[in-house]
Amino acid sequence: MEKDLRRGSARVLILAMLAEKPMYGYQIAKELKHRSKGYFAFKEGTLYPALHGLEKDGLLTSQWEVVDKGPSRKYYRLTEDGRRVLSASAEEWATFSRRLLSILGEGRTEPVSG
Amino acid sequence: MSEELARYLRDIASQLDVDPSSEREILAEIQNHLQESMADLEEHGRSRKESVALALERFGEARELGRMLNRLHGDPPWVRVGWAILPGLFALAGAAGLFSAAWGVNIGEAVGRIGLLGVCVLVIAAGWAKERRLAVWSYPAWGVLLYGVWLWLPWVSADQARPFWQVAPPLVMLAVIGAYAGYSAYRARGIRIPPLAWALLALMILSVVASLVPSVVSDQNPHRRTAILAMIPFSLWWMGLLLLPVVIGLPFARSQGLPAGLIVVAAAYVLVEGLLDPAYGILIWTSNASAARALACLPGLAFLIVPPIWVLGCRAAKGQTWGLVLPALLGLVSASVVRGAALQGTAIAYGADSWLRDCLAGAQFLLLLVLTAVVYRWIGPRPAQGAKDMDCRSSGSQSLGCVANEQRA
Repeated sequence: MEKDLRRGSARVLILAMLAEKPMYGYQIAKELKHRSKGYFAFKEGTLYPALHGLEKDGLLTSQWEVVDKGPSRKYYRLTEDGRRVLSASAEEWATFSRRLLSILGEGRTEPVSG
Repeated sequence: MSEELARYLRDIASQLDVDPSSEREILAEIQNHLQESMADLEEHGRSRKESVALALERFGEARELGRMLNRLHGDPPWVRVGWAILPGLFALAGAAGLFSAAWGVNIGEAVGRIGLLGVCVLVIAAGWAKERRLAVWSYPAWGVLLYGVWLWLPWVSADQARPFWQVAPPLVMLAVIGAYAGYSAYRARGIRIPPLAWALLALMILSVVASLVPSVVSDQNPHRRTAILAMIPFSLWWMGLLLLPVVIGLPFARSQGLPAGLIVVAAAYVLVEGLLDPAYGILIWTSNASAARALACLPGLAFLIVPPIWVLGCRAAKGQTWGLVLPALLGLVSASVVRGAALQGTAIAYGADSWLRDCLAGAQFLLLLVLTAVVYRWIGPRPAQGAKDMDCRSSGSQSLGCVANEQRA
């Protein structure tokens, strides 16, 4: 269940990371692992189907950039559509989380309307 | 680039059926990620070997990842399957007599034959235009294209009344091609052909000779020895035809992987064997011409339509091999059953010798596939273009990806 939840959240997590600045694949994996203290450390390879899928859906664009040292990197950046989807997804996740916690009796317990 | 990393990238590439530039870009991105991950691990005190193993383990299973990426970047499966079965459908339409029914026997047959070759060329050209290489879904078309070679070769029957000089030209041609192929293979490798390949060739010769013996015996010919001797040229000719798909399938196996070569061999075999018309006597059994034609198409369906769908739908080598062998064997068996049922109670009823011939045909089919696999393993696959590109990147002074350069250009 926990695994399913984490898998389901991959797209929104990627969008959230890229909302801050353009990043390349390895950087996204490293940042995600670091910020979640290892909680969102899924197999790094699965990041690429997710990134390519988001790009195909028009939520990201990508560009190869030359760096002084090391190999060239493919940077991904959020599009306007991507920002809209991120905003909607973040709202959905927040609602989901609030309602789940209210049922479980943890966190805030005010009645849920609607 | 380490051998483990190269193998890992090859495993991903083996699952990709996309245009070469997309493939190079995908592999370059993954390679860069893995190399950066390895460098980080080494900075944190891991040995080179440990960092390679850990970086690959963290990245996930290569083939599964390749499949996920292929689903995103490849054509929808129904498009590839559609192209792959198009030649088979056209061949079956011809065998079912649709063209003859529409335009008369003479024009219909010509349309069936020339049209089939045209469809094959169209499929191959479409694959090339779309992917800038031989598309996987065009392999069945290559196999069917060999049918054209078969049609245009001078036909040699086992007619013992024919003088030898009439039979000799194609035999000489086959001998020259065979000798040249053998000499080229020997020079290219400078090593001896593996004993298993010789053993399989010997089995092939035995099975071809054995398939002629039942007819001689059942003829109750008083001069059996003479009759068998007279059939030797025909046996050699038949042997050459059976080996032709192997010779043509091997380059496909080398450049595109073993399943590709096997598809070509299988498709060529079925047409050389003439399995599209297994029930020439079926109208003795039933007066319903449509039913007879439908039944006659069953083995062809098992050979030409089911394997491409199965193979393209299955990415694992084991599944692809089953997809090639099982429907084809079912096709052979169903051809025998249909023929047996059609000829039952007639003067040319299906006897033990006919069943023996069909069993030998099945054995020959399997031998051809195994022979292709053995020779392919002997000569080894051709180094993939993607691997060359990757080596080019890793050997660059600044490790700048060729893909990235291509992108910028």
